[in-house]
Amino acid sequence: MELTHYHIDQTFDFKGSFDMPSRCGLKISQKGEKTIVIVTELYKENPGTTITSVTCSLAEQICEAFQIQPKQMIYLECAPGMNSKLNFYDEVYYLVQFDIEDNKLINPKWTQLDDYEKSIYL
Amino acid sequence: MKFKIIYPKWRKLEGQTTFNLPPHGPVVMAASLPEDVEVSFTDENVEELNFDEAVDFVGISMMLTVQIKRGYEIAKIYRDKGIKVIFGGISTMLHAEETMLHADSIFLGESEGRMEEVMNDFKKGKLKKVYNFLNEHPPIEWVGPARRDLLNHSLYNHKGVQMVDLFHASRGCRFSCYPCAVSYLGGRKFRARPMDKVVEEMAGIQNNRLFIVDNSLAQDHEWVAELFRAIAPLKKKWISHTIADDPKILDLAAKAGAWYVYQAVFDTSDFIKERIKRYHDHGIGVEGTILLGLDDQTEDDIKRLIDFLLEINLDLAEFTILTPFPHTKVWDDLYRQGRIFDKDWNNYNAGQVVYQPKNMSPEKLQELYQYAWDSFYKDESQELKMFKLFTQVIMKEMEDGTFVPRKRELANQSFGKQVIR
Repeated sequence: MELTHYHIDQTFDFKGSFDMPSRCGLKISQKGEKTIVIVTELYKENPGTTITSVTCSLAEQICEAFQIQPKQMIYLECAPGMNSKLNFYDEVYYLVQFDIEDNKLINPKWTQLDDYEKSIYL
Repeated sequence: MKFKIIYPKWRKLEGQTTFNLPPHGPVVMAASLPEDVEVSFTDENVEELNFDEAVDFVGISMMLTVQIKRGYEIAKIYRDKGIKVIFGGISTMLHAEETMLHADSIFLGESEGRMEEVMNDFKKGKLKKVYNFLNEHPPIEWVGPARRDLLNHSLYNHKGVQMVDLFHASRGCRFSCYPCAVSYLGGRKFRARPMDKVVEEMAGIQNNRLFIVDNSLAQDHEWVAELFRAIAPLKKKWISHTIADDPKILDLAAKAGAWYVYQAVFDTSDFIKERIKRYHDHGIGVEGTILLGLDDQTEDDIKRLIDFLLEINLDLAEFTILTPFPHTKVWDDLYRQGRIFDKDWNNYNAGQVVYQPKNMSPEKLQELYQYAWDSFYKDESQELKMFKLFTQVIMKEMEDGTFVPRKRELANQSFGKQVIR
């Protein structure tokens, strides 16, 4: 199954669980004062941890690498389509919202985006 | 220095025929221990663990999520006595952060070439909290013959019939299937053991019946054809996961002793029907593995699927409820959607609903799971279907002169316990 790669400008190498070398797709864009970060799971092309199992740490690593203020960030997770007839491989986007404590991102909450919301962010 | 390896027990699923197979992970790991380490092994599923046995260091090997809470209990007893405990194995890797809270040390990854360091650190009193080799797979040629001598084989015997021995010829998986964590555990690169070592180890196993536990025998057609040609002269009979869907390979598999395969059945398509037929045409039995509770399944879909299984003459069927094990796409999807309501790892046995299904209530899915088992085995019980499959292997063994009669002295025992014949 081939992945759909609609919103990837670059790949980003990050430290996963127990520092496992891991890789995701990444697109960063500016919308007014907000920085929209789209992080895409790469499945077979990701040798390590999934983007969801280390969401907070990954978001912090991206903020640090690209000098993004967490408060100004809109963070989206994408599980790309795998061109399969099985619907659990369909493309899906989530808005992830964090609490910020001592400059650390905690308590991630995922909200799946509908088509209207996708049109706003993507 | 005496190192005790323990394989924790778990609660078996109700209403199903219970079989205890000899564990593979602990004996593969034991093969990588330095020669001066004296090893003993207890599989709690078939024998009592003697906490009074004199040991210096304890290793708890856990394969399944349902083993981990018992693993923690065992660790506490030893640690309260001042004995250091290290955890390893698949479910240690899946639940690493939590397991660390119950351990003096955890080992992540594959053990070949690494146990010298662990044992030296232990001897020096400098055991590390984590030995992390998740992303550093040892050279595959370092995998030695498993220490099956540590197993008490008479405990893996049901009324005189010896259970299969487990064996592996490769590691890693290039596929990334929805409910599976193998690509996280063993890496996404298929790694085949050297063929001469595979043949040498297999030839050295006394048991004529094996379970080749490689993640898939469909990853590299050329290699799998070579494997089947190489092991055919050994005349072993074996079970495996999926075999490549290629008539030439299926032919070679049959000649190499393929007894039956575990094959996922995920829909009612002609493709699946033909896939099963192709195995049967080559004399290979099929145990269908059927996952219930996927987001695209309704109650009607599940009922239709069960009717379909009966139509396609599966030899056996094993129904499991979708279970979100950590480091799988299922976990990510259900976790993000806030649908996982049960985090008691003892319930992650693939027979209990721990999440909110999309198209029905958890109670309805639990009911359909029971309905699936009852309906499939209504006219012919699981025992009878197993007996038929067992007869097939005996026939094959009689044809090529490898049949060994059951052990009469164990006819009144089942997995170490006395039973009435």
